[in-house]
Amino acid sequence: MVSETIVSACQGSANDQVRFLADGPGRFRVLTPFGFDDGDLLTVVLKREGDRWLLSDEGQVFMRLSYLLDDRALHSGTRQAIIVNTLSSFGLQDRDGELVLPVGPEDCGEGIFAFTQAALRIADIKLWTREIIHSTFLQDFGALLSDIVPESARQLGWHDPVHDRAANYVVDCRVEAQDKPLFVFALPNEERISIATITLHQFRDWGLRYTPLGIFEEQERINPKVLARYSDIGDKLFSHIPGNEESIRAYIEEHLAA
Amino acid sequence: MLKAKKGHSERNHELQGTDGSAFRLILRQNDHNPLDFPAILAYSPPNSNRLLHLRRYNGAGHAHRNYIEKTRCDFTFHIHQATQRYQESGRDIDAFAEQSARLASLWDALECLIEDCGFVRPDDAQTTFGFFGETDGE
Repeated sequence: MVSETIVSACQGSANDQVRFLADGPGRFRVLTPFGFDDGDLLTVVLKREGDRWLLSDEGQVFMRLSYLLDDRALHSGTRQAIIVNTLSSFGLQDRDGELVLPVGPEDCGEGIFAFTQAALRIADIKLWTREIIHSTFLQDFGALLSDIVPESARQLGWHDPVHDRAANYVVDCRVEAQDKPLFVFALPNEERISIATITLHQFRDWGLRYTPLGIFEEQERINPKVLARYSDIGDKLFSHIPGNEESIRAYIEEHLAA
Repeated sequence: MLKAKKGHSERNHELQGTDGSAFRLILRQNDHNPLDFPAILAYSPPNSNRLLHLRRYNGAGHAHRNYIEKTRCDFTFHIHQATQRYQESGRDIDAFAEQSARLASLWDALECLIEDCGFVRPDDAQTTFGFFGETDGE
């Protein structure tokens, strides 16, 4: 049997901690000790497709990442670069959300370890996101606004062409709304918050009509005095993006449709 | 109704507790393996970008290992729950799971979650949170 041949070859080249469990015609579960911090073990399936054999995670890794990260966050910027580099380094393919690696009898054991290493490295993007969120916040902000607001209704880096030809007071994203525009500020740190505060005061002095909206990277990390000064003039705030995507969407869409 | 994504279908639903606490209901169905799904109740602490999984009703598409108890769920339906001991151990807080015969599909998992986690169904509810067909504004 071809199946027995490849499993025998795989078992021979893998170590004792890897086992194979028949799971239907041309299909084996590969049991490894590798898993995630929540105790779930990595799915590895060895399956035949036509005349070739593949290792597959059956979509487990990307589905798990989707608990925390949406498509935009996962498949753009630095995160996407890590995924692409990892796939390339280990020879894996992303087949519409399924990680696969073609293997043969001669390299199956080695392939199992390359496959698990690559899959776990991609899964670790979840941890990396928490630690290095500063480098992705502005990407996430831009992607979110692009997703919610039609291109014709948003302008990045807007400044008042009448009062401010030198562009000293800039809005991160101006959104055209029915009543008055939304001025949306990305607020990753105290410096940006202070600049946004000064900008809003200047707009008020000029008598501009607008609705301010501030989106923090992590509001809880901001000095209370800096936060209080912004709150005095920027009445609508979101404390962070993750978990607030739908609330931000609802708020902006409410103004778009008002 | 679940939305089709790469390799799976999904739905998130933001919830608010009676005391104003923020929660998220997360549903996923793997396209490649019908036995692989979770229904998750996650808590969103105020002023934080963290999402803490309190309960996770998992399919039988993968094995699970309880690191502290040295027990396993081998390709069986299982229920994760947040515990203090795993939080203190540095693992994910929902790293403890027990095998369950109460669920065999994502919709079973959702029903179990609703039953276990203090949800109150509206009196006139024919369906559950819009997941079975009607929309909730999306």
